[in-house]
Amino acid sequence: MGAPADDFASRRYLVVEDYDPMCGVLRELLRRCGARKVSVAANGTQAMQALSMAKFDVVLCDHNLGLGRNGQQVLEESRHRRFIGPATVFVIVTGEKTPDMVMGIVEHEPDDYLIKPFTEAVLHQRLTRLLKRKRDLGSIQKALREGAFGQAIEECDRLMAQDPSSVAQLRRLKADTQLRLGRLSDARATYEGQMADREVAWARTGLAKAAFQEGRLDEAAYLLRQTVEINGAYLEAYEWLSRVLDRQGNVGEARAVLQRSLEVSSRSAYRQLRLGELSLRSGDLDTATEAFQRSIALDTHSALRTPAAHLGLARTLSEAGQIDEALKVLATIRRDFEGTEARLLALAVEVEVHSRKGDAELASALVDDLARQVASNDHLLGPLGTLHLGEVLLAGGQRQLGTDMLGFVARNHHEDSDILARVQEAFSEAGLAEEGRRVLESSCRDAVESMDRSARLAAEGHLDEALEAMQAARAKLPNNPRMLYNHASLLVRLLEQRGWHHGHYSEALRCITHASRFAADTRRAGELMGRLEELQRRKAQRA
Amino acid sequence: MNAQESRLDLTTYLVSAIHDMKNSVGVMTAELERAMVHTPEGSGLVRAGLSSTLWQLQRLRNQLVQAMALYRIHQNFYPFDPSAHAMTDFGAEALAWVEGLALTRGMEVRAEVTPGLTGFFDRDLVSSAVVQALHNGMRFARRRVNLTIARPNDWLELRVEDDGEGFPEAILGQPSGPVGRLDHAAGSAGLGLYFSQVVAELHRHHERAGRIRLENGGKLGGACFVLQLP
Repeated sequence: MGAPADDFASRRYLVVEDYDPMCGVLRELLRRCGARKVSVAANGTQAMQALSMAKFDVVLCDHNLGLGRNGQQVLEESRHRRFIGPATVFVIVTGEKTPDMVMGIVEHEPDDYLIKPFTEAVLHQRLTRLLKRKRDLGSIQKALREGAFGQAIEECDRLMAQDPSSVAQLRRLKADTQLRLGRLSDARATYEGQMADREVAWARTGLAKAAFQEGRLDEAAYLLRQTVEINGAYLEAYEWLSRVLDRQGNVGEARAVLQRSLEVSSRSAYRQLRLGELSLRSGDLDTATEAFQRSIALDTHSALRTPAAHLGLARTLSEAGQIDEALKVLATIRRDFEGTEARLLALAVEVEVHSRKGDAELASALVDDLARQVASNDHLLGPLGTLHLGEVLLAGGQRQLGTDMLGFVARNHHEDSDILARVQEAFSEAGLAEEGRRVLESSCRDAVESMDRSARLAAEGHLDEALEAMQAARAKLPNNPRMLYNHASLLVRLLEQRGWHHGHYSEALRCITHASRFAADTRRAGELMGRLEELQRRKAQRA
Repeated sequence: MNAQESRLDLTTYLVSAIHDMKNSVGVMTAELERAMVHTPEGSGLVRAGLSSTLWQLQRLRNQLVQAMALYRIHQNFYPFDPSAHAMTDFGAEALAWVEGLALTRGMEVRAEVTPGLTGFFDRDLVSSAVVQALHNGMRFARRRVNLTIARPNDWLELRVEDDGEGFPEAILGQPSGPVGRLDHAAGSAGLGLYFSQVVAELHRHHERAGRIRLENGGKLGGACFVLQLP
């Protein structure tokens, strides 16, 4: 490690600032700190361009960049696209500390923020400290990126023992990782340790997240209400509270909570989208329209955007009888989004729009078209997307295909009461309530039977036969979380008993990752990931 | 437009205006610092003028930042974010905020921090209160201002002392009222104290809340501003 001055001179800096004189000032400040290699960008687009072309050690990015992306979005996108890695120090320069900088999701937080205006001495101090902290935390962030969660937790413990001033920050990282691994009681112990020390919003919210995963919704709601009461700007708590209330069937209050969070900070595409969805479901079309429109506007420049807000808006407009407007939105989806999912879902909404308009002939032609496209594509959509398609097909008279799709959803989510209820609803609305009950019953029976055979073989120790049965069952239940966990668990057992097998290892990993997309409870994922990590560690030691 | 909407618009206007002013203050401060570097040692009057302008700009910056924070706190929208901080780092940064100014005024500003001390608080709010106190100290000090950070009796104590004449008798002790009353007569010092007291009160741990106190004497014999956090 050289003297601080050398450190500054050898590193690469990017200044992102739209206000020209201020940009000059920041560059000058960096130069006076000893920086030599300083690049500048005047807006989000230029910033993304610069970040994609070179690796920077330090990014000083203004929060408010005029039209287009703001600093927060530049950060999220460049992390998502991996233009910046765990070693880059990302500092948001801002007129004031805002809730989305420090009160959102930890992965979206900058390394630090600096409140304008500041002096050369302050900048120098802050950057020196941040670069040092990066070195310390680098090992954790690297482990997290590589999915070595157990190792990340160990690193947290090691660093906590070294530096008491970073205990709270490390506890937060550690508990979030434990939560991600599904080690709920460990996570709770870490959060409780923090609460005993100092009561802070992230720890109380963390306890609520653990309670939510364990199905204790009342407790989760209580903790989250307390959090927003004490700290009205803690955005993550609003998001979770709304989710819990929705799960409890209290859509009205779930909406009210989101609306309050949007008063604190309205610039969140995700929260606007959620508000739109809840409002659409409760029939408040005006609020839904406005929320979807805001979500779309906020996301215009984001690389992470999905067509969800567009689809929601089209459905809302259609329900409000604004047919032409709805069709325009659907055209936008076709123009701006790639991929099968967007195309199929847009087509499904289009069917609804035309049947609402009373154009039965066109609607029916579109349903046929949809049926053809669905048949030629594997069931790769999420459960809600598939459910929606099945619903539309069933309503449009494609009874066989619709029933197949809804049966597929039921089979793969045979333990998810919310989804099963929605499948039944789709049948009932098409006037096929009895048929729905039959499909639900047979799908669930099918799921249980397919799994039982392989599980029994595994329990009896016939691992090879079990594996064969498991593969057959998986073909039927490709998205069923219990099925996927069973399969992964068998593969882990094979690895543990018979030694390293790369195919088994990567297949197990694939099962777990895929399952965690659909399962609310991550405990099994955590347990299995832990065992896989241990296996890999043993392999590395032998090598 | 109804009354509520126009009030909202006014708020948005004021907030944007403050951000704009802070940008200007930032640019002016930087330009001024550069100008001072290039002003020859001999031109005493010019340098004194520049130094005094820099001083005013720093005051302006503090007040704008504090006004914004107070507004958000009042709305319960302030992202209050207490966390653990190494006090040696905190002290060093507080000095960094006033270093340039101290130089132009020929002041000696120092920090004494109990080694290994950690504090738990919202960095920006407490830093703003302490920097404000250091500015006030420099205004009335003869030559020296000290920031002492220690933990006597389980309180984190941040103490700003100077070697000036001390506070007038009338304002010594703990400010009265639930949260220090704003007093037009107290002028800018009153604004700063009000901010510090709001900040102190926000910091709670178990049954204790933070507090501020004004004293005379201390190690340097002048005024002492004391911020205690639980």
